[in-house]
Amino acid sequence: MKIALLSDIHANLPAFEAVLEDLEKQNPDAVYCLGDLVGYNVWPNQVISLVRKHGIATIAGNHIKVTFFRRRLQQRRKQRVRL
Amino acid sequence: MRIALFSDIHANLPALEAFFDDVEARDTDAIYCLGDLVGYNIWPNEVIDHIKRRGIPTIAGNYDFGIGRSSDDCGCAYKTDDEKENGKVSIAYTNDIVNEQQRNYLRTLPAHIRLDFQRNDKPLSVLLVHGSPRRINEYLFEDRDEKSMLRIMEQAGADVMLFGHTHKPYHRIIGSVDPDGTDHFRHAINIGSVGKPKDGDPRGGYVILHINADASTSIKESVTVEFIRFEYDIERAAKAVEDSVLPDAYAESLRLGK
Repeated sequence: MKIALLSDIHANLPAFEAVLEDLEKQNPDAVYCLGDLVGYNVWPNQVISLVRKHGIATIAGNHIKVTFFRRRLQQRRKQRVRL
Repeated sequence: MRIALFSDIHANLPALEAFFDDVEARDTDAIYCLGDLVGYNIWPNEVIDHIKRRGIPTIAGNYDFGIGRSSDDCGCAYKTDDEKENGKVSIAYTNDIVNEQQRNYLRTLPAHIRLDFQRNDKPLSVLLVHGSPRRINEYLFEDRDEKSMLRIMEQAGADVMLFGHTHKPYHRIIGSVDPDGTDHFRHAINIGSVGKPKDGDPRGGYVILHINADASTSIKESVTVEFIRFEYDIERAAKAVEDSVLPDAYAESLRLGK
């Protein structure tokens, strides 16, 4: 699993466009954005629109938790040991 | 917040393409996939590539879990002998045609995704699973006993739970009272199936989840669900089944939505 994570774009549209271009080359399996889309530059609306257009899962002081099977399998193993 | 969620594509490329056309024309903030990308039709690799290319956060379905591990068991509860025999053909065929890179993707998909929203003073936890939080292949049908549904959601710490697997969409609101005396409304939402609907409507289905800006577990209307059905080229998908080694019964299922 190859997951791309990006953050703190801060209304910098040229930088964000370059990231999107690079992501196409990197070919990740999923993309998450850890927030701070706006502030410090002149393109807050354009950055938000682009994030939404690409449907990128984004947090804003909240959390996304991704649980993989490996952990569950380990838990099951532990349970078995206890039994 | 408007979140599109889709599931149970089951290698049906015409349905997936029509889904993307439909969802892209709507105004959504994010998109998640609840698994079962493969099985029952001829385009498992193409479906995986489409979802991978878009970087859509995706969890594993029982069929993905099985194929990812080259298993001959998809964890499906087939009732009749015919269904069991057909199921064997489908999983052997899918194992045969899925490429290594695509299999790796299926093998490493996560089990759950949790979205924790911080609204007002209380958190709102949205849990995405394929079958249930306990088992990837547990069927949560609409007639599930309310106490049982509440217990499952409480144990998983879910205020909103979205799942697929049964291919029959519904939205149930389950009310309870917190120890401090405030109402607590939980939402159990089956998002239906893009590529193999079983509720009698052969069109593909998915949902858009709306979460209010001031959402709270004590306000029932904080979370609403839009059930969307879209037309797709069912005949193309059904013919593909009939022209393959897959059982013709799967073509008929697509035509009838059963």
